[in-house]
Amino acid sequence: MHIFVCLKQVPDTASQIKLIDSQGIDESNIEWIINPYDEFALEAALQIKEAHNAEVSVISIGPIRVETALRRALAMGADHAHLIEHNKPIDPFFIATQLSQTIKFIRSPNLILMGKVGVDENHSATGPMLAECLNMNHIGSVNQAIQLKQENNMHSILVKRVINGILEEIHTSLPLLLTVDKGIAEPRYPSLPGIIQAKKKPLQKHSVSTTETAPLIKFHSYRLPNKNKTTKMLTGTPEEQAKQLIDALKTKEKVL
Amino acid sequence: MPKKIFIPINLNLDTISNISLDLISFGYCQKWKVTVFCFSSTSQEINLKLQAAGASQIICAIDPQTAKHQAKILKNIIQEEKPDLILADSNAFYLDILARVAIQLKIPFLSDILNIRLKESNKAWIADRFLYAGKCLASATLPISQPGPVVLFRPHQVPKYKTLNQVPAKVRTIDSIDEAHNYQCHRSQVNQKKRPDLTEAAMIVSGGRGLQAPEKFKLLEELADILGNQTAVGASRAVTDTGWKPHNMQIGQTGKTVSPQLYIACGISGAIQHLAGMSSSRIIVAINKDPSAPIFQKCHYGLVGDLFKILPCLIQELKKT
Repeated sequence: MHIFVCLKQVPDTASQIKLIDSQGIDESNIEWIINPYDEFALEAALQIKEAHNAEVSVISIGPIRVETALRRALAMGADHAHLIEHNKPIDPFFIATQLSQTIKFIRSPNLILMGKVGVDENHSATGPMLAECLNMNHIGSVNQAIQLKQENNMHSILVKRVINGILEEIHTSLPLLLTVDKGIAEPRYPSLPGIIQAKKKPLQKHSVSTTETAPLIKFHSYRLPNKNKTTKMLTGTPEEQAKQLIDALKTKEKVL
Repeated sequence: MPKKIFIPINLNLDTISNISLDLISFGYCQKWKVTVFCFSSTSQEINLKLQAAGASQIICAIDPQTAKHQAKILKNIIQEEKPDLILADSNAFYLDILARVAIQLKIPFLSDILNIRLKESNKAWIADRFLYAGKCLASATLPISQPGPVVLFRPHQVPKYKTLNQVPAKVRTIDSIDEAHNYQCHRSQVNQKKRPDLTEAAMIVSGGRGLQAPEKFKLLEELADILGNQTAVGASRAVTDTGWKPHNMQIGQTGKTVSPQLYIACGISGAIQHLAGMSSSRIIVAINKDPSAPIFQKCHYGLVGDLFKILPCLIQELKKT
């Protein structure tokens, strides 16, 4: 059983975003973390590893700083790490194409897990695109624990997700790609022995395959949202505050 | 030549969502030729509604269940129809399928857009969207092609038009190709209470640590009930992390990004990751006992005080009308 977890390194959700003109964000003071949704995916993979003796590989694409994210994943318990080194802007189309080529080159997995969305550019596209490149089925936004079943050396999987108020319980075969939502598993912290072992675990670097692909989406005209909100503080007793608010929402804002 | 627009929609228990109808009307009012696609057969009644909104063609196909097979069917139809633009709303269903179609056809894919327009030269589309869950805005230029780019609107951002198209729509049913094997899906309803999804709600009442205990959310539920059936109840990360409320109620950068008409934050201090998820709401009201809470920098109306006193007054005030 071999599981690939795809990780993206993203700015910490607590960071302020500053811009360099309109060209993009200023990365100089940013703290980088593993995309939280990818971390849920990694935890789900590690739990399968522990229950079913699976092997977990993590893979990412980006500049050399991404090594930190991969080392952390190794410290949490992943077995192998792969970094596709690339310094230019990327989009889901480019990432999925590159990941699929490298994953095929390394070893095709039974299961691929990744977050349903990156909290940086919020495309929610890389998972389905990667599944398409690998000609695999995928199930999106899985938000409950995964169950793996084994019968006569054949693996099957039971996944659950709630979409628009409907619970789906899906029983299907592998290989499969899952994008995961919050709720699937609470990520562990790397243990001290884990951190020490991670330094010795293999982290293989790959170069970008230059055939055909360039990103299809390039953002421009970066700007900060309007800050022209004027706050009106309502004063008085709770009754007076409530009355002022409801009046304003009705007559001035017309939202009620 | 009018632009050809392809709009895949989802019927939920045989009803069309308002967002789907808004998308069709939007296309119609731009004088585009609108084709609607659906993974189920459509009744006469549904067809008439789609037509009135502005559909000139309706294509139905049998749902093959898996994303892989759904994408294959859609890809074939899109290749045949060659629309200038594929337009949908950002719900998980089409997001997943259209991303697969886009990479197959090597066409740009952009989710969560705020708007879309043709560049003056008519040589490209331009769409705006948020990045970093609302911390900044950027634009993307998408070249004209046939089939054209896939764009998915953020909920509540589709402009609303009233349309009454009288020209009958052509209805076409596609024979299904191969179906999925080894895939069994059992569906059941989990929402007992009829509240809208957070991302689609017109109004949101949301609670943070200031509520002090999970049972205190009853007060928010009561307020939401009075505000009407377009109101949802949300929570901050502090609340979902401690297990008071399920994760699917979390609003913020690692939860849902919402943009309702009215957002009422109760006992939420306003961590940057929470603000990122709700700051594009039209009207933001904050109730907090701490006057220095960061949420007061981001709201339109601030009420400093004890929410356990203020909320009952709000409910009373709303009951009066």
